[in-house]
Amino acid sequence: MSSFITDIEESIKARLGAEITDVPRLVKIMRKPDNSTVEVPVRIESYPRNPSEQVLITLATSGAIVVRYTGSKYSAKREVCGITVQDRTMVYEVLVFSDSLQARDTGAGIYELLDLAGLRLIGYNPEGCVDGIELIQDDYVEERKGSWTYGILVSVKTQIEKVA
Amino acid sequence: MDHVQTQILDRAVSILTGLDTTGGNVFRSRLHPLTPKTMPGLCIALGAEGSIGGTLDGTSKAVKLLLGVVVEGDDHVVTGSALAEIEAALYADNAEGRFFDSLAFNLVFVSDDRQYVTTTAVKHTRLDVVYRVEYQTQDGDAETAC
Repeated sequence: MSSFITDIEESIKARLGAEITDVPRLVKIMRKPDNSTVEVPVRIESYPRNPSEQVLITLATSGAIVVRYTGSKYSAKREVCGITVQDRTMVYEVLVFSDSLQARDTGAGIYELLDLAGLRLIGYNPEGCVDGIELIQDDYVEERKGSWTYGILVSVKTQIEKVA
Repeated sequence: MDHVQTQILDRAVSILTGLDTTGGNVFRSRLHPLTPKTMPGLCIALGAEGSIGGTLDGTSKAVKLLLGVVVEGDDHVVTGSALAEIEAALYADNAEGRFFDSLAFNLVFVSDDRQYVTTTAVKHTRLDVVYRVEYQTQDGDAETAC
């Protein structure tokens, strides 16, 4: 069963995927053991169910943007003529993985992915929301075995409403 | 029977429901729910009341009619239309120089003030409009206008 949280997450992923996945300069060309090459676009995904170190390193190898919901804040309740409303500010973390900070010959560096993700999301208004996405902050998360992770926190406003 | 000021408020709600701009989004309250589907909306309430004179056995009173037009976004056009529609509707409810189904002997525009509010989830423009409604009652009988 879907939920509003999932719907927004999917919407954010679709927004990111529309201009990032297929950008040629962001596609990484990887060489296989038999010396043939394979093109690996940036992956746009939900946060993995079992985020083992190996999974996270794999994401960084291809370059990836991963989205997860972190929580909501609610305004005070207001009641006007039988309508009860609370504003809800939903926060999502957009994690960016790469094995490089700067861009290389092929594939995206994490700085470029961070900037692109922010530019794609700012002001974007997912269905059911009352205002466009705001960027809160981006920050370094961690480095493991040459795999870098940065995160962008974004918020989007919606409302919980009950009509008597 | 209600206090005359309550009857005036009832009449204002009736007159101002169904305007082209705000339609049925009329709230008998100073507050608006601030949801997109209730915009453009109109809040109707009463403000302060005071004496403006009288006779030995009657008092003339003035009560403020507070109207709030709420429109999504930074707006001057829709709020301007609503302002014109409100004025037309209020002054059209006039019979032999009396207003609000003859409850009031005078209706005076006082002020309007427009603000763009960005601190709420739904950024909106609120146009606050104030009219002064003047009516008279016999002392001891606040439920009958005279």
